[in-house]
Amino acid sequence: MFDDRSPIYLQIADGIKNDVLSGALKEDEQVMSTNQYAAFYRINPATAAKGFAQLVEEGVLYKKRGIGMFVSPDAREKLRRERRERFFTEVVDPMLAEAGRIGIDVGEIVRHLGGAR
Amino acid sequence: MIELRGVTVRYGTTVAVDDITLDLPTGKIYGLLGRNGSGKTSLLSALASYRRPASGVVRVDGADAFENAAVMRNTCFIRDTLDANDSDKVRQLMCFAGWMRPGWDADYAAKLLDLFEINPAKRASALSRGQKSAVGVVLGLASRAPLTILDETYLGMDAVARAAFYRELLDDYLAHPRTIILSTHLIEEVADLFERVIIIDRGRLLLHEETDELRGRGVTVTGAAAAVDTFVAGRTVLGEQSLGGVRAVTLDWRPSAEDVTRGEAAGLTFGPVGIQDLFIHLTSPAQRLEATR
Amino acid sequence: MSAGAALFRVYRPILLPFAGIVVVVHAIITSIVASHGEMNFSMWLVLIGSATKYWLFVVGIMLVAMQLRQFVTNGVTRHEFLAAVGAFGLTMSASFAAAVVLGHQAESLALEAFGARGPDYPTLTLGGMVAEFGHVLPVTAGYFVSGGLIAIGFYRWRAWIGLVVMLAGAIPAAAADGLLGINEFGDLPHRLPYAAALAISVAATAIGAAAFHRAMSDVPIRRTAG
Repeated sequence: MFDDRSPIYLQIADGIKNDVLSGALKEDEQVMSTNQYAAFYRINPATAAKGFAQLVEEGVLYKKRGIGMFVSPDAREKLRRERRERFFTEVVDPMLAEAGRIGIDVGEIVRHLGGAR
Repeated sequence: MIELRGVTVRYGTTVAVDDITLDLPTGKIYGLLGRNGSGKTSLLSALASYRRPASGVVRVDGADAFENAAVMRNTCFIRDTLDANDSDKVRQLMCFAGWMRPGWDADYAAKLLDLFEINPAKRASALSRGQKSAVGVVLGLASRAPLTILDETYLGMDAVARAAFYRELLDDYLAHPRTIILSTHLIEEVADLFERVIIIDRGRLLLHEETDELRGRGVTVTGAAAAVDTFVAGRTVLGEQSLGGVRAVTLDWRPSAEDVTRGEAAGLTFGPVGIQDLFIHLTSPAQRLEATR
Repeated sequence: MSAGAALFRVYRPILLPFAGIVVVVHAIITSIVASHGEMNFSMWLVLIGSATKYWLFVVGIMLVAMQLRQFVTNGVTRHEFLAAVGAFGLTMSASFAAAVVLGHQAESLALEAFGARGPDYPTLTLGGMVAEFGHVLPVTAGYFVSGGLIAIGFYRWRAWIGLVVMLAGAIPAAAADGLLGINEFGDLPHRLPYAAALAISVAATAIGAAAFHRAMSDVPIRRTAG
């Protein structure tokens, strides 16, 4: 389930963020406890807890004492904004660099994009 | 807290564990990795008071562990060869553990024997290697000892039995948190269960870190030999391979996003290094090199 | 459960059948022999005299070869185990010595009742019973300690050291048997006055026990039985 080659707690955080973005996890919905998550994915609960803590710090989740962890009400919007900001630097620019490496000019790309519209 | 201070274990003139100092906060699952002959079992023997260190001390919650009744009663050390007399029946092993172990759960033991398909009426000498491993696992888990040590116990078990063991281990740890130390060669299978990893090499402590710290600690840089050499200059090299004009160098280094971009611009590719590969590189006989080119 | 109680529990299924067999065998053989005429020796002393001391000798060995690992790997300290072994040894030695004396007297009375007791049969007065007990107990205790010593010699050290320890370890048994051992005719040896013989035997056994204690106090628990 998890890639052994990068920190799992980050993979957990990314996984939950994706679920929030896709709508699989709704705002103010309760998420699994760290123990349930650990048991389900067969990982150490401390690793799961670290991933959840990361999400709390980033404001994606919040904790209701004695009850559990919930998705923040504005999480989806917040994540979308973050991803938007990073989209061009992390997705588009590397794509352009690769295109440059193999000799595709921007005009070809624009034509391709025109087809997708 | 479990403290090892300057622990040295000797067999005659051979030093198996060389002056190891280590702090192990309780309640975590630890993975102990090391090559054969690295001193893992000797270290665990000292930890469990099966062997007195030649020098140094093992303390559990501040008290010297050796010959300490309170500590030993709460420590369960299961070795790779089952500690049982040939004539003992499995049922008797469970029974005796029930007499002596304060936290013993007989129902859980019975359930586990069933899970691993062990006939309690069989004598220890009549068990196959895999069955002996399973009995060891049952003794270790059902003891619910606050310090439970499993030394390559499960290596004799087949893949299906091992998967069942990992599942049981995690479920029981979640229900009854305690300190668990697993020593293993099957790193990739079980690394997800470890909160921390300890690596021993040639009797010395090599590292003691959170598992996630090790994931992504190393990187393999591959490309044209000259470009690779320029890029990796000055970094700690764990291993390298060359074929024709292509070189692949494994580094003990965590590149930033800029480093990766810069490297890719130079035509290099980056590959991640998993914990098992990192372990292999860290403990291989070849000398660790400083790239000086 | 305490280590002491556990040790008795472990040996109960070994001891009871052994005791039962010995008693039954004795009854059968004695009946057969006595039916052919008067008995002028004690069959009980013949059988039991040897059985008890050799049984305790073997148990002394087994405690090191089998129970040491069994107990320590289940969380018992070596010192707790040693205390259990000491209590077990004392209890067994005393019990066996008492069994020798009481059984001897029972045999004597039974043979007399059936008219099969010969004139040279070693009968026992009350004083005689005490004297016999005082001769058997040091021997059973000595054999027990010797068994343990010989076993720990081979368990803890290499074979050639084990041999040396074996020779020294046999001393408690040899001293006790040589100075105090009684034969099937119930004859007490008179090489030395009883007090001196007892003192030497007890000293040898005590020193042996102390050496055993020292060797076991920090013995590494090996993976295979010694």
